[in-house]
Amino acid sequence: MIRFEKVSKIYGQGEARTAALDDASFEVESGSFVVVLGPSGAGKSTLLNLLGGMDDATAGAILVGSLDICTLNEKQLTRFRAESVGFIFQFYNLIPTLTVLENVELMRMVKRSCLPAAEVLDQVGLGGHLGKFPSQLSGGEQQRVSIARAIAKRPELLLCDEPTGALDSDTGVHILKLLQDIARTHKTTVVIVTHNAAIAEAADVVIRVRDGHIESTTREPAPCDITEVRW
Amino acid sequence: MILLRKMGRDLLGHKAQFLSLFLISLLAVGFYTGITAEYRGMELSGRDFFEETNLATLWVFGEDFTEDELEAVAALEDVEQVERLLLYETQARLPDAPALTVRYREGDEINRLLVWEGAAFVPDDERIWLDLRFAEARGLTVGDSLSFTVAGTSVDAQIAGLVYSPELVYPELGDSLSPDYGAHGHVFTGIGNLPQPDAAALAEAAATLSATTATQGDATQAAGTEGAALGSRGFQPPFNQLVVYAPAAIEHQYSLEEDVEGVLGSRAATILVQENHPTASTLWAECEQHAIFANAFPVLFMFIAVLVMLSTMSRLVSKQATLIGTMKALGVQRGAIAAHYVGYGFLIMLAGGLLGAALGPPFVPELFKPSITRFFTLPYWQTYREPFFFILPFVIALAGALVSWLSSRRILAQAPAEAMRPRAPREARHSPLEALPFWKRLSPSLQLTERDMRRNKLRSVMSVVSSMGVSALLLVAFLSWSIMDEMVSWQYSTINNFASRATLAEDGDAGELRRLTERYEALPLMEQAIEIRLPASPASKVTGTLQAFESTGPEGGEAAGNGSEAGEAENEALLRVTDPERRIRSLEDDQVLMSYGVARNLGLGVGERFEWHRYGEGGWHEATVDAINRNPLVWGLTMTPDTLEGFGIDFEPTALLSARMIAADEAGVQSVVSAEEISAGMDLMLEAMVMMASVMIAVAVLISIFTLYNLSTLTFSEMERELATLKVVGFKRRQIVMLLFAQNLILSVLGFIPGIPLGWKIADLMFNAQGGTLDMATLLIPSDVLLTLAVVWGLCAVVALLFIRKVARLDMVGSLKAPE
Repeated sequence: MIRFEKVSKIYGQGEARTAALDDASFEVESGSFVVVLGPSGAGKSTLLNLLGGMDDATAGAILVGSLDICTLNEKQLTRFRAESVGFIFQFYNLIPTLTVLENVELMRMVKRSCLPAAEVLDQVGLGGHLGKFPSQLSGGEQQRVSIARAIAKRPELLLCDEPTGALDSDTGVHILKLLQDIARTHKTTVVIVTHNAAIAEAADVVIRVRDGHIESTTREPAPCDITEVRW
Repeated sequence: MILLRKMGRDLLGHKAQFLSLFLISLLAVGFYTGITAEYRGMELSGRDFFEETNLATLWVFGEDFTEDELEAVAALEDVEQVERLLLYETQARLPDAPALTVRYREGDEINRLLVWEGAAFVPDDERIWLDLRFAEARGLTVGDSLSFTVAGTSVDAQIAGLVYSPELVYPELGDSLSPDYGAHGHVFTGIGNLPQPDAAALAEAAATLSATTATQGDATQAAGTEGAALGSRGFQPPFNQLVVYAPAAIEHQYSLEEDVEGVLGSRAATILVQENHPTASTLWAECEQHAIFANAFPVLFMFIAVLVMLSTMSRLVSKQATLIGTMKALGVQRGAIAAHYVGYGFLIMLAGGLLGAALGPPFVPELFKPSITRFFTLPYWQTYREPFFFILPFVIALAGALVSWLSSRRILAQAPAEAMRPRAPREARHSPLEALPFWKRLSPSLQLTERDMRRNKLRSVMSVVSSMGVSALLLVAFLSWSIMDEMVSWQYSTINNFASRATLAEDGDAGELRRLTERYEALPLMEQAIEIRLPASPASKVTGTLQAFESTGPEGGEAAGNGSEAGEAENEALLRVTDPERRIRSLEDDQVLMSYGVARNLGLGVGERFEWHRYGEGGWHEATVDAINRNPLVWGLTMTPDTLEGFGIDFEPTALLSARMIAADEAGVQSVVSAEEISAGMDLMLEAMVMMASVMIAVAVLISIFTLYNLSTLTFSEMERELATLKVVGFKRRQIVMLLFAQNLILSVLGFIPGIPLGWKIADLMFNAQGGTLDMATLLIPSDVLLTLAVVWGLCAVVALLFIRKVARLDMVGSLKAPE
């Protein structure tokens, strides 16, 4: 379970005070496929960064299971990211000087109990590209590597920041399908930040954010398969 | 103006890189101008002093120089003036009876005295003038009296003045190798003050004086032998030295020497040209050595600075490519943009260089003054400045500007749209290393490091080259220290095996010598100043020392002559001989050993012929180099007493060496020094060099830190996104810092490998060019190589530590969102 309790992220003071996220509260169950929707500057990425321990909240509590990550120091946050969180970025953020296989194997340095890299890459359909460098792959393939890198750690949480933002729609669908399957089969909580409202149809939980506030949190009892989404 | 503001902000934004460039430029210019000001100041002071006092061009030693001979020499082409002197060695009646050289002079036109205190020198005055350093050491001043004996006549003269003499710029070092100004004084007075003793006393004095001790480079030694003439005339002063002043012949001193030889024939026992006189030769040798430091190292520093500038500017410009495109799109002239980027390098290097030029000359010479003034006596130490000191920063700034332009010209030449287009990341490629069996076993971080280095070739090459320069610099600095240490240990542990050395009194007799030798189980040693020349080119003459002592090697022993391991006898010897590889070898009868330095200087090898003679000896002995003897302090010939006598020269010991401490108050002993005192004297002698090495180490370490920090900052900046990714996926701060550390470590080793031979070559050049008569073997000492590597790696570690905070503050969100 993930729970945000009155979480705020404030930049500046006095008149220059800007609330990137203000008094945000919501709760989602483990293994959910969560979509965070909102226009640019709404605070969705801030929410994701706080949840992933990449940024500190100004106030409130963020519970991942029974752990309040707002109380962790830097060392503990590093361990939290290493053990429990997988990240997927819009621009993949792969290490350009490591091959596909090495990018995934790299995770063994932060978590010993990683899944075998080749096996995971095979799962995401890249079994034939192990020795290639990221620059030799298409955008969709790079994002698959990024997903493989994230799931190799078997994280509780998979945080995806605009994972299809740099991809064409067909490729985007394939990537989202992969993420949805991961949520279903691995019981991993997948949180996707996007401004593509169409994806909401496939989500278990949709959180809408506007001007730093949680506008709504809705649960879809019977979400459709991602391939059925009308783009 | 706006671009200037931008430049100011960019400089602030990249303060670490630009500050290190500023400091490297400051250090390079400061070091160059400082050391140049120091040695050129010393050179200038020496030249002015020699010019002001008309330092002789030639010194001629002989007997009873007559008025006619003086006139014959004076008539030679280029000769402006000639003066006769009588040098007389005696002792002052002061505590410890210091040695005294009295110079009875006819005039004061050549080797003029510069009066520090008291009256100007007048040859007709009945008073005496005393060298200032002896007076200071002995607490004597103008108006005091000084007593000594000349050929049996007691002299009690009043001191009229304390003087600087151009012949005494460098002191006789004596047995302890350190200057003891109170142990040997120099008196100057008119020839009219020479006592006119009775014939018997003069004859006795002559006998004593003829047994003079000659030490290396001491031109006054021939003086004593001339005492014999004192007793045989009504009274004609027996002048034993001619000084010749021929400034026009300074460039061809040896040809003038030949002319003088032609006029005087065998009457000129020894002729010493100015460039071989210790007063000039040691001063110029010291300047030459400092010049090598001043010229070699700043070039290395600047080379490093230019490389760092190249990588810094390349990085800055490529980061600002979009901005450059935007400026061009907005209509800013290409020239204005180019000038803006060229300005970074120019201003930074100029600012650092100007500050270095302002700070170097006043401060650096002060570091060397204590050790230099301990050995060199000059009436003034001039401050040297030249316009080039302030031109140099501009030259360096122009180099910086050129490098900046080279870094930016490609982007500047692009069309605005092309410049603004985001750059595709550089492709990574597989390396041949990946075919190696161990590649797969390497950790991903090492694989990442290897590929990152290949992907960022410019930065990597800069790092390797910088590390090469830094390694060379550190190695030279460490070698300077340890070669000096090695030399001291070689001399005082391997070669010298005695506890004390007694200089024998000139009036000692054979009975006393025998008694002392037996009592202290001592080794008699004869040392005398000699000249060595090639038969084919007599002008190629070197001055040196003859060293004769009893062979201690086994008769026909295995060690003999072949440089193999020494026998037991050599190991127990009080004085040993070492071969060119510095192994102990035997000294056999019928062998003439030439010192390594002299052989190298004359281009002689084993089996080749040469000629030699003692100072004061008319003819030349022919000899063959039977073996090479390597000894840091012996510059000349070594042989046994039997071999010496084979040349028709009596073995007349001048010193005794003993494993025990010889009592200084023994009859027949003039002075005694312990091995420790000699070793301490050597340390003093090397002090200036140690100081130079220390300054160099300090500068090398600072430059290394700046360079490594700068390059690490570049690495960090270029890898920021990758590092942020690693941080996001859970890499610990330590792991990320280790990644940077590993990269620096690998690059520094790649630079270290060629840096070692480079440093060794520079050190060899430096030590071989040090002039003088010290033979310093430039060994590649493994511990120094390891120390250099340890320091380079240590600095990498220090720089990595400096990055811990940077990694902690790495903005994961900002770095990863940047492309969006």
